[in-house]
Amino acid sequence: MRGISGPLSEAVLLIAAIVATISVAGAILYNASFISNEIVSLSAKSSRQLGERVVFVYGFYNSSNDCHYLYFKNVGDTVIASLGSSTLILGNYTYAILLFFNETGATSYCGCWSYREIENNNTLWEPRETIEVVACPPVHVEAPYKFILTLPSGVKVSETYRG
Amino acid sequence: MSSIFTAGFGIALLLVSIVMFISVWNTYVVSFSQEMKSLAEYINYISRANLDIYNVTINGTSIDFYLENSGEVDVLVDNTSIIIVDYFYNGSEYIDLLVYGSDWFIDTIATGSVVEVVRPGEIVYLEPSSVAHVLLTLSYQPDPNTTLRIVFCNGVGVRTSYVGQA
Repeated sequence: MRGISGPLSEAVLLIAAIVATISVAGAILYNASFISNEIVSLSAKSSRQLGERVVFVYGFYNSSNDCHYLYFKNVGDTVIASLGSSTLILGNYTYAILLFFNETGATSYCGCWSYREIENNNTLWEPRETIEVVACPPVHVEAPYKFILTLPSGVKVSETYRG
Repeated sequence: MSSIFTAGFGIALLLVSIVMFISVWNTYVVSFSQEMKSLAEYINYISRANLDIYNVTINGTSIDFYLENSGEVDVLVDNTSIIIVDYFYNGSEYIDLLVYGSDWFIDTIATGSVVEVVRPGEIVYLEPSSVAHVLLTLSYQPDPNTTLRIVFCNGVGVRTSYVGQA
């Protein structure tokens, strides 16, 4: 009995060590993988944000329908998709109105906005392409007008114009 | 033996994790620095680009003017270059959005004493000190003595504007 207790305890210790090592290894690899995925995701998001550049070209207030026509250019390197998920806030220095996106088109006092692509109408805002945003607040807004457009990626464009 | 196995396995695992982490981090840093470089180049380009509009002539619905590159870098004019004209017709304000090559054109480019003829819609690089002669047609004839605004913007966001009387 005494003769086999040494190898037996060694075997038990070895199995325990293997089990413990596998458990720890699993936990470490899982966390390393999680951190890696987070970094990859953060990298993609940062790259997208840095690559997305939008410039405001011109803003026009149409007194006949009380709507604002805003022109933007995608001057970045990336295609901007899901533009309808953007947030548009229009107002002036006194107040701001959050407008909701209306795919079928904005009309007078709808409290909504819509857009159309100028050069290539394919629902993707490609680099160098111009879009016309029609924003119709629910009430008349006094000049000078101010808007903030926040794209789905978080990139913001803000400008003041007189129309 | 078990302690040797554990230590060896642990070290191997640590190395794998470190290599994996460095690889991912390197990808992140390279990607981020490339985007930062691109952004820096863009800001540098835009800060050195400048255009001026002058000698605007209106004849009915036709408008012609000169577009001068007064900056330090070439400015590309192609079918992503737009002109917006904001004007009054019959007392109401109108806006025309015009695309290069289909709605507005350049017929000549003068660089010093050299004048180059440009085919309709031809892509041009407007060099510093070059002056392009621009032609466009509006939807309506602007009311006389009313405000007329012209905005030019190319595909990368080089923008200029003009405000005058029709």
